[in-house]
Amino acid sequence: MKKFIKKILLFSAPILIGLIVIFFIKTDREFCYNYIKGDCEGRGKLLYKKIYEEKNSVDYLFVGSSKTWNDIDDGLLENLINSPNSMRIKLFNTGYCRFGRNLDYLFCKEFLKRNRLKKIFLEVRADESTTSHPIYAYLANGTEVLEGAAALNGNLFAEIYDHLLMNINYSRCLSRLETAEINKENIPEHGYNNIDRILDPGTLDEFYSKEQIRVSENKVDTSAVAYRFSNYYLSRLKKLCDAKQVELVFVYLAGYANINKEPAFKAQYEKWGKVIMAPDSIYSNKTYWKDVAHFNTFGATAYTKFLATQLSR
Amino acid sequence: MIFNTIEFVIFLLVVFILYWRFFSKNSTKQNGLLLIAGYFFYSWWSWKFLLLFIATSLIDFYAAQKIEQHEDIKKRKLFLGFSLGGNLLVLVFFKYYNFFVTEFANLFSLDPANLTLNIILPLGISFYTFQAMAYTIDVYRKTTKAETNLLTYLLYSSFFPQMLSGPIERANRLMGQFRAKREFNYTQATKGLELMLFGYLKKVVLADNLAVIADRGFSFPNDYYGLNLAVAVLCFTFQIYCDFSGYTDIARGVARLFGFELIKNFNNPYFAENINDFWRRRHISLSTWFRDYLYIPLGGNKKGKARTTFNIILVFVVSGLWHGASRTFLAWGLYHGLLSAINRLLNVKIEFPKPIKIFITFLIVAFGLIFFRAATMPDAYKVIGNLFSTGGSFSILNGLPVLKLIFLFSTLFIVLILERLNEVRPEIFHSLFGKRLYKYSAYYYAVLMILALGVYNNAPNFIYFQF
Repeated sequence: MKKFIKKILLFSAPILIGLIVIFFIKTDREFCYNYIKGDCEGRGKLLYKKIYEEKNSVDYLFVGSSKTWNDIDDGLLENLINSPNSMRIKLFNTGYCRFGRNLDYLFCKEFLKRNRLKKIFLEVRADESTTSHPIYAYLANGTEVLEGAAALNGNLFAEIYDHLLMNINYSRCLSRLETAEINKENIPEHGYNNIDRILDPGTLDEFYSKEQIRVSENKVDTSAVAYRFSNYYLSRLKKLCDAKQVELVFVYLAGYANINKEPAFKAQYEKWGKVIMAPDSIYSNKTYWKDVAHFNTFGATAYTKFLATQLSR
Repeated sequence: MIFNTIEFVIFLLVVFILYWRFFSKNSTKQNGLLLIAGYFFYSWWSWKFLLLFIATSLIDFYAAQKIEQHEDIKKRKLFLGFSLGGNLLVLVFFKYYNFFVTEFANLFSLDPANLTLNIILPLGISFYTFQAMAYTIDVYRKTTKAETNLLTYLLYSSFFPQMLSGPIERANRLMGQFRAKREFNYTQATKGLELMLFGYLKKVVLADNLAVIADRGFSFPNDYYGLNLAVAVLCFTFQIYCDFSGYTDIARGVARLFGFELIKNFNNPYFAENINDFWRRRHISLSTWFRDYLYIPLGGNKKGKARTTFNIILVFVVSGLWHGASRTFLAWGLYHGLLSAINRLLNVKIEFPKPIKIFITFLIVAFGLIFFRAATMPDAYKVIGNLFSTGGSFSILNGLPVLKLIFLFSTLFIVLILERLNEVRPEIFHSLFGKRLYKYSAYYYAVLMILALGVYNNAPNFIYFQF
């Protein structure tokens, strides 16, 4: 048995070394953003263009999940805040489906390298994320993926595997064993997702009664170890903002009727920056929702107008 | 759980360490571990169907005991019928109910939607059902003893390397190995890893890449003609061989890691000299199953030419339906049945040189696989029609990197030639790969190809898992 294990290890050693080298190779960013498995409606190519092709194109960056993507109309907001005082502030909404603080941190870091950002508006919810973002492994480099160990990333091994597979694929493209699929068609200027469907009020009522029970029964324990993950990346983001003298603003985005009333980690956010919270009247309007968690066009317009008033103060 | 996933690799590593590190002194404990591993392996797909699987295993275990306890032929038949009936009932319900109901509805111009059910086919049902049936029939025929140890029997029915896609093992071959004490054997284990490595090469490099080309032709039969479709058909012919024999190599390799030998299921089928020879070389465990439990009980070739012809055709039609409940598999079975019957009855002795005979047999087999691969009979007719038409440019390989195609087809060629060499000139094969340099070069070439060309994303399933 010992001989068997020894032989296996000896045989595997060069293969492992080769895999480690591939894991850490510098992958072309355009390849990564086009490779994303489970990409959210082709947003990879838009984000690539904004981050790597258009330098100094953003002043105010909005970062978050599909809530940011659906709730904040960056094009409208840009017009609202620029027109009255002929300012030239450029906005961009990076909101990406699903939620993970490591991806938020990564986007901010990449934008900060190439833009003189003035403000970063970070989405906050009733609760914090405890898991890694599903596409993080594709956009981070090898070191950044491994860094997840320090943040107690529960998906670390899956991410190492996904990142390795992507880099193997990239190596194949370099060796002309595969062809990379780079799609540059129909890239919009802004990141907002416009949907004008109105959700059936019955569904909203049903959600309201169920969610009230769930919220009253499940209080968020802000000291839980699972939150170390988001805390790790938020702390790093704050340090990065301080180093680059960028203001960090927290934007609270709730679901229908704002049942939680405020984010569980509000006190923490307030130590780091301003927290913007919209009035309940916006969240309670039944014509503003495309589903129970995301605004439709009418809701997003109302919310964006509210944001404009906050930003012009 | 599928062999070509990272989950399986981790699962295998854990079971291997537990098996040899902690349970190596007690074969009962080793069997217990393998049984739990087998159930875990199956329940990874569906724990609900695991319960059904265990229930049918228990029925077979007790039915075999009862068959052996009774000398009265009527009672023996009763318990055999109980076991076979149970197995066939489950198989027919899950696999064939919708097919037969749809055919019935079409015959009487009824709406099939009102009669069909939303049934999920339990994974590996055709394989484990046939293995269980072989066991009770063997006990009835007194060619094997009924197993008295429940653990051994349950392990026989759920040995994870082969439970989903065979090889279909006979009780007297495998059960004896479960009863015996096992000690770690370095040579057997390394041979097991070697088989696994080349099994993975066949699956993730050859089969899954050839599938890309084959799928183009079969998914869009209206878009391709002549040479394009010929390439698609040939690619599918090699794909299905590499897929299934690759799976079998992995299964046999994994079994060897735990000290077991599984039957060789393939013996260079594409080097067969006629259609009967082909079936002696392809999916051997199923071919011999049909021979022993259907063809011979029907009378085999002992009841005259007409009955022999009928028996051959019937066996192949059933074999076709065993693969899948659809008209395409039925047609594939019928095609081989007719060819086999003609070959046997006419006994044509045209003396072609061997390579010509091999080439003709290969083309006949490849043509038949059109029915196997096509989604529907109209699709199969379309492929056949367009195969013999001309039109359009040669475009089936468009978009595929040239270097990849060179490596893909040269690796396929090397694998086929080496397998053939191992059959016809084993002494040369063994003297070649007895040398370290050649052996390790082959190992590292396989690893390199798996890394360079292997298909990992959304790991494509093994074709035979659907059966």
